[in-house]
Amino acid sequence: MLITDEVTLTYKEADRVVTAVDGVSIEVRAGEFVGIMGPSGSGKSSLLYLMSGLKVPTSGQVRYRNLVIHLMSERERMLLRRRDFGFVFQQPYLLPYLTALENVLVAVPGNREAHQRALQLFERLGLSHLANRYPHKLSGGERQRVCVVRAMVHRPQIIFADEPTASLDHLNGHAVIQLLAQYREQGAVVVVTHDPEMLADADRVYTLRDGRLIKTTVG
Amino acid sequence: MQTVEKAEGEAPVVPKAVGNPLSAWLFFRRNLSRTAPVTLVIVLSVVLIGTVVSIIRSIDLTVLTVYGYNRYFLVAVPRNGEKLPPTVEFLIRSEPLAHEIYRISVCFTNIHTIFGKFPFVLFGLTQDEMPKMLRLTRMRLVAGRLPGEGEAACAVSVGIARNRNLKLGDIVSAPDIEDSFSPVPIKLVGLLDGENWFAVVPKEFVQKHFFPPMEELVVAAPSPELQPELDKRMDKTLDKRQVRLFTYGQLVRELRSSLRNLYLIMNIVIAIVVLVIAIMMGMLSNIFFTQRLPEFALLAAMGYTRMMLLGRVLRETVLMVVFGWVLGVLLSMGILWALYLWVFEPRGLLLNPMDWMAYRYTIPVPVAVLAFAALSVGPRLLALDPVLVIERKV
Repeated sequence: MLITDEVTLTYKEADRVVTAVDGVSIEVRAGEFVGIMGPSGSGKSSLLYLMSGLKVPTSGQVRYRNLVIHLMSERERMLLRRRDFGFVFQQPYLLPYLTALENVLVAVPGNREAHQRALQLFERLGLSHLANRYPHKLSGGERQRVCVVRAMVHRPQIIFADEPTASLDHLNGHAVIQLLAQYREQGAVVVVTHDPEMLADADRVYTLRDGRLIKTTVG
Repeated sequence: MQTVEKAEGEAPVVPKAVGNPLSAWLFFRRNLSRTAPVTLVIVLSVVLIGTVVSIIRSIDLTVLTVYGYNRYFLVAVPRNGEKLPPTVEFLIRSEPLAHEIYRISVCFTNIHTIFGKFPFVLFGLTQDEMPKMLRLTRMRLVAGRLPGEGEAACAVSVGIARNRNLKLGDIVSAPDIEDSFSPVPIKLVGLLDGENWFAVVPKEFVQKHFFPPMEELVVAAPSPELQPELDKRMDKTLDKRQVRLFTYGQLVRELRSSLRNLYLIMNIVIAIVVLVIAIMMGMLSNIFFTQRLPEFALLAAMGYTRMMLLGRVLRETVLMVVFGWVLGVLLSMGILWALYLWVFEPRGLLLNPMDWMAYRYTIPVPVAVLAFAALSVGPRLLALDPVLVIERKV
């Protein structure tokens, strides 16, 4: 479904060239829960940004359904992200002037079907009581769970989650990972984390160090 | 330590109907702490410009209303004597468009305007001519009577009476009124009403008491629509060394010419106000944009194109400036109506609270604010790297 082929990402920092991702080749199959692990600065977030088209590789390529993402126009990449990908970031950012439900619908504005789907998701995930609340009335865990619903509401093919549990306590972290893992029934999930415990359920775990893939574990 | 919140035990919540969560109106309503001050600044600047321009334009309005009777006729005044030379009068009378001609004498009284005292003509007419001139200028007697032959009396427009705070029986001009002198006191005996300001006095009285006893010709076309053509022909035909013509077109030209500098100053002031407001709004937009960086970065990461985001910012700004402008215009109208009713009208001063030309001067405010906001936010938005914001590097 999504393949990275020897992708490398370098950037300049002051006078030196930093290699964030160094020739990494990995694969994400439909219906898989894929983990990317590694210590801080190992390049796992950069790899996620490359996979999701948020960054363009210096060399190598990322193929999604046989389309090379970085060869697409910016508009096509944006469309791909909007339609086929869902995102959960480390900071559970919600638009402060929108309710939880409205925040979810930001992913699909004006879509009545999505509105119903969002309500169903809220209900299924036990978040219905939060739908009309504004972000400042939500705890960190609740916010991140709303972010997960937002990433799911448009039924993306892949959900990319960058350290989704980093700002949460253990219990809330697990709840969020469980939500994401459940999405396997509909699409693939790629989770970046430094906590191996969060990837206990993963179908495949890639471990990075210094930008290089050092280990692949199939669950 | 945080805990996983549970819904159990809480009353079920019915989710509210949701429209487009990214609509400009929703943003406007839910961010009043940001949108209201910006809107208020636009409102105040529109009020400032709208009211000042309306008041300045009331000078125009005053002159054109006070001398508006000139739309219905021209006045030919001799330059070198008490009467027009026979050759000049012959040329005037031979003009096919010269439909009505009256031989008149005039004297003056003063009226108050917002820019000081202004002379107003009292038309010295015979008993026969008075009703004809009133018909010609679309005036009618609404109180009292027209002055009798040779009588030291006059009939004036209601506007003039209000302006001078006069009522029937009061003295309009007198030997002891410095700025409205008459050798014999002239009493107000009638009030006129109509489209213009007008005043009549017996011709015999003017010729007897005012020196020199000049005679002028009032020349009217068959209809007001043909008057400009008659004015033009007379202007071309007559020798200006012998006659001076007072026409409505000339009045407008002279007025515009004399007010040119005033309007120039007004335009400079407006330009400065607009520039200051626009720069201020541009800076505010920049600050607000910085505060909203995570929001735009998130939307960009989710797949909203730069143009979609820019469009959203523009829609929000357009809504804010249009709302501010409309509110500003309505408030200006309210203030000007209040000014007109409580200050201007009782004093017989002219002001048009619905002067659309004045409100056109306020249009640069929303346009400039929109342009400055777009120019300050646009490039930042187009260069936005969502990853840098998400990673908190910006």
